[in-house]
Amino acid sequence: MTHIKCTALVGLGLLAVSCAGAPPASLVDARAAYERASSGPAEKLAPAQLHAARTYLSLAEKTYEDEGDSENARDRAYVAMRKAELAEVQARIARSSALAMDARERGKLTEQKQHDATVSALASAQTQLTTQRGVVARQGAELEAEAQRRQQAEAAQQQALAALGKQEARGTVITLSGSVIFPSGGSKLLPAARSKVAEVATALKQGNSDSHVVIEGHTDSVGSPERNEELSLARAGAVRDTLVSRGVSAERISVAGFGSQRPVADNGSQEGRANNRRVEIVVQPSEGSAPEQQPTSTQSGPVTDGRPR
Amino acid sequence: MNSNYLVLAALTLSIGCGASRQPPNDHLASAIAAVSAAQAAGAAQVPRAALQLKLAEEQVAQARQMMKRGQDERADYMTLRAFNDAQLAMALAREQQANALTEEALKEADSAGKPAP
Repeated sequence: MTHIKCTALVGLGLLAVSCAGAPPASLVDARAAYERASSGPAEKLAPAQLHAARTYLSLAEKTYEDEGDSENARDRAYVAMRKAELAEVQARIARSSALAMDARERGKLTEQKQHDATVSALASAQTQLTTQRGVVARQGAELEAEAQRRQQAEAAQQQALAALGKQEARGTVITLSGSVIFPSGGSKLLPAARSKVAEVATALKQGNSDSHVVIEGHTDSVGSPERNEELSLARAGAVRDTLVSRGVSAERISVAGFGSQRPVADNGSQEGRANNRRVEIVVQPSEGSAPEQQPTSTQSGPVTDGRPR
Repeated sequence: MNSNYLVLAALTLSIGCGASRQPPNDHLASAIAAVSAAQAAGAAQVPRAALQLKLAEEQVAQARQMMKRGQDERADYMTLRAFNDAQLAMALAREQQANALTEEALKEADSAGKPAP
């Protein structure tokens, strides 16, 4: 329809030419401008302005037909040309705006996709976190159960040791005393003592392997202090060696020789001296408090560590 | 654009009907307003728009001169030319702004699809 209208206008123009001479350049330009505008996107995107251009071109043609190449005809042709150009520009603006809107919509869609992906990743991370919390809770329960097992084992050990010795501030003290543990002047354990030491070893292996054991050797006042210290240390070492041979870790055991410095009975009587000749196995609590007193000489570790005789 | 169309229609009627010629003060005022609007839209900074704006300004000046000389009908046509030139200048300035916004929107759309550095 537009092309037919345009052709009609051109035809009108040609008729005007045949009647009134060559049309003015402004009218020719106006026709061309309208032709260009109407064959482009202005038909759809700037129809009102294009219609205005068409109306003014018709007016210009009529004026040229009536008045020839008059100033009025030229002015109207000029205005018609401007209106056609304006229609083209408006169409381009509309198209540019549509492109911008489309780009913004695409951008929004992409942002939405990214947002959805982020939400999904967060949900996944949340699920992982929940799973891990479950693992941590399970591990916590297992640790709790292990702690309870250790507590029970320690309690059993304490019970077993309590049956063998007595509870003091420094720990559980199992005393091997009398003439049945070592021969006179010697440091080799006699059989009766070995079996008692074996019982201690069984109790020590039973529960908490962290508890530290200090073996203290003591003598009566007979003999020189130097000899007594040496003997007491050797006897403590003998008890240690027996415990180690029964499976108690050597790392847990320290030995000390106090000589005659710590009597528990009167050295004036035979019975008293017998009680003073003793080895005390002190099982310290698992918090690992240090021995209460510093002995004359101490040694820890395996027998082969080169302790002084 | 509807208001511009009404102005056009008024101008056309008044000029085309050959009504008794009054000085085209209203039409001159419309043309001057259109020139101001084109200037405000930044037409002077856009090459093609600047040309149209200059034409409009010159034609406004010519219309004033014609009115002083009593050439009211010619002055009226001159205001019509000036008005349309100014309209085109403003549209050309807006076209450049629209293109700049479109370019920005396209760049943003392209970068939205890319991961952040």
